[in-house]
Amino acid sequence: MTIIDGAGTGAGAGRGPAAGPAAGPARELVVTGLEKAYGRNQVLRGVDLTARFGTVHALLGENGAGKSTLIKILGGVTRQDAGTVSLGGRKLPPGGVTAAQRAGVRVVFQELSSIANLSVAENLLYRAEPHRAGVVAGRRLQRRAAELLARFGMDRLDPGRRVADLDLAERQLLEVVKALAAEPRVLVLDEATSALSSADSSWVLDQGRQAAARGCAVLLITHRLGEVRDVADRLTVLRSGTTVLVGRPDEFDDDTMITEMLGRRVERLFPPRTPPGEDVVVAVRGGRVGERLGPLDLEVRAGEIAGLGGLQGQGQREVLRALAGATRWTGGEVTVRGREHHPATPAEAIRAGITYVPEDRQREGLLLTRSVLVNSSLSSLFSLVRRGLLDRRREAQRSRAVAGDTGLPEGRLHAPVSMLSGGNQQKVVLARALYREPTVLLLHDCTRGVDVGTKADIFALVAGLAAKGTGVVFYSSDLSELAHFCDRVYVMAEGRVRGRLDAAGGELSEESILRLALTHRADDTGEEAPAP
Amino acid sequence: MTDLQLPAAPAARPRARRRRPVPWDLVAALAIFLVLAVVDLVLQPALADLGQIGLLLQTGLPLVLVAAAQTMVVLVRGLDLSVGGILAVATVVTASAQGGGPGWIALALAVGIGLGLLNGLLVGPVGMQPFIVTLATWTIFDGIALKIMSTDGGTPPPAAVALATGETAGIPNSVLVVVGLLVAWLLLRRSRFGHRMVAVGTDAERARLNGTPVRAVVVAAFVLSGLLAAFAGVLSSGLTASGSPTIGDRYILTSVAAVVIGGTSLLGGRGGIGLTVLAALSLTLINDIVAAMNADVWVTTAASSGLLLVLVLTRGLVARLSGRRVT
Ligand SMILES: Nc1ncnc2c1ncn2[C@@H]1O[C@H](COP(=O)(O)OP(=O)(O)OP(=O)(O)O)[C@@H](O)[C@H]1O
Ligand SMILES: [Mg+2]
Repeated sequence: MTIIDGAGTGAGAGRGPAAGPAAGPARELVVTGLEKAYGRNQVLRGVDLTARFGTVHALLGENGAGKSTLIKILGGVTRQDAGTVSLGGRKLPPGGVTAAQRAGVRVVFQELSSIANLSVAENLLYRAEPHRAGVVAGRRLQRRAAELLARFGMDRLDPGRRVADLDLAERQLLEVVKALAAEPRVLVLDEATSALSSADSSWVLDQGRQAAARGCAVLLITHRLGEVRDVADRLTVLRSGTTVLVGRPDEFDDDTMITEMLGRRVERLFPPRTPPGEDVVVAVRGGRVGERLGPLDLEVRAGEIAGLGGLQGQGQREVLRALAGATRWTGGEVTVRGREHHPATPAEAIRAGITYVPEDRQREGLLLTRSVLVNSSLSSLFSLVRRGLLDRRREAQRSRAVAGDTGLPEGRLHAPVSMLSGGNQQKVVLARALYREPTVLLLHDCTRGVDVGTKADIFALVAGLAAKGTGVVFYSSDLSELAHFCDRVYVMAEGRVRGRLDAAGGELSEESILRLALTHRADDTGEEAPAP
Repeated sequence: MTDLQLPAAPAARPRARRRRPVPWDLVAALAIFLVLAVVDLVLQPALADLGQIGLLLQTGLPLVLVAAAQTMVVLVRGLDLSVGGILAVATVVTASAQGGGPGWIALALAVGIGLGLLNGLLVGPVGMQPFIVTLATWTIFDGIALKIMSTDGGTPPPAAVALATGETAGIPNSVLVVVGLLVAWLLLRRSRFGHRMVAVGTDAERARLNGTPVRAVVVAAFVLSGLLAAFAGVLSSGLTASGSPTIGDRYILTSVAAVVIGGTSLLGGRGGIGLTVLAALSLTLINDIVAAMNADVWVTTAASSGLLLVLVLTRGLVARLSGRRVT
């Protein structure tokens, strides 16, 4: 086990009893002394990393540690201030995407790179389109794309669809296929599993393993230690822009890794449960949204954390969106605190005390070019108005407090959100949700891309809100979060609730959620699940 | 993480056949054009004749081309206020021929490319706002046109006049130019460069992540715009058999109107020249109808603007009702 403290001590440090057969020194990706500053923010301070071809190498670190910055330099998107990247013994010229791609580097970017107005096929083969004299051969393009999707077992993506019409998970999967299609020598997966169900996540990890088996160096960036244990041969931990830990996953226990990442210990991830109250805050009876959702029955009590479980895409997103006023209920009876709730707009829902943390922070959640402060106060502006004008001072005070609660880096509050790391962007969305204590809090994968330490903080915050009487509707693509954080989980399939699992009754576990989700996939009779 | 494995989600369901979304932009542009054409025909029955249509098309052709020029830039999320200036410079250059040959046409087109390149370099590599850049170059280009020719006059080469008003094998040249433009657009749209333009217009940052040479694409779009605007100038000069240093300004806002009516998103990445052409022809028809009714010129402007407003309004409504995002 090699723990390096302070600045890295050289590229050789990473080589221990490495996995895989002994190979020449050239058969690896070597990053040495990488430095990068954005203005006065020194993001990378001499990072070293060595990843062998044919292995999966995990890159860990808390939000803002510099992981994405590092791989943007690898991919030629950003230019380093100092340091080198070499591949198989050859130095990579800095700052050119094309050069990096030619050298065989493919990156699945954390914030995705697909073009919304192009189709799946056009994105898959972007800059590699089959063509005749510059004119793209449409049919061949479609065929090639379909072949690629089939080859990587992702044929549920339709090559003709416009990317704008795909959901986040689908765009993420497309991104992975696109990178695989180039048969890279270095494949970088930057939090590629964070928006995916466990089935899709294991597909991604499996593809990573297979790419490694074909001789590729796979860099896996993730906040889920389980994934690291499952597939990584080696790991590197970054903290504040320096390499602090290098070795094999089995050399360290979770605590060591987390402590190295955060520079502090995390006592517990999930807060203890407090029993919810009796008053019902949200009640849905026979709720419908178009043909996809319903009839749906659902109840959330004050202080309850109610999970929405089941396979991905079974209507959970629609429930949240309809409650949040982002789409309309087309039928049924919906009440919030006993009052009828059929919001036509998100603003109406917000007035009814509902706060929504959407799935796709970049498209639905944030004003990317505005500051952290502005974004966090956005849905509560009316409460900040004094004599017809916005009270800027109060806004700033309140924002600071909330930002502190969510662990946003102080000193970056005036920076445009687009300049934050992915995890910190997610915290801004959360800060806004917590800005005023909502009656109902709707969370869609609110821990996506958030590091373990902050995850624990977020769970504690949400549990705190619940303890004060907020009803929480919680959807997560991570089964363990549903099983350990919720008081009750409604398992959905095909737009209906198929069963209810209560933590209090001891029925709630990862297995029970899964079993319910699966049994109701097999029989499509549409009968209600046996009531608990 | 759990070691339990979920099977792939809704894969079990056979992929539903996708319903193609209704192409509202096409429907709207076509409907407007047809209604206006019918109105015009009722007012002037003599129009139902290829020769007459050719004549009408002739007068509308400069607008069609300027609107196409504008479309190229809007597609990459830009705006070109200087198209009128480039058109003006091209008319006076063409009209400076004074009995010279078709070389003057080539010169005018080359100048258009040069001016477009200047715009493109300032926006792309230098990184200035397209609005500011072309606002400035608009007046500069107008000034250049006035420097070359202080009042209307001059004589374009016969080739320019023939190009604008003649016919080839019984088909009016104006018809051929429009057909040529549409074919060129179809090829461009399907070309690899077309894909780059869509990518840059949709999201320049993501395009860059994919290794698109974003600045070069922007420059190329402005160059194409310059070329098309200059071609409009050549035809305009051929049409009036003279050059006019002040003719350009009236085209600027109209070209943007045609782009919008044609359904090209001002946010970039969506739309194309096909519907822009139809929209430009619709605006020409409005002009013709107003003239046939002997109404004042301001009626044309009012009617065009009214059309623009109504269309943008309904587009917003349709988008809202069908649950799409407004772009
Ligand atoms: N374009 C930019 N301009 C200014 N600062 C930036 C920019 N991109 C990143 N940063 C800063 O660099 C630091 C590291 O960001 P980076 O995205 O590399 O973190 P990360 O390790 O990927 O975190 P996460 O796990 O949240 O994705 C952050 O403080 C971020 O604010
Ligand atoms: Mg990141």
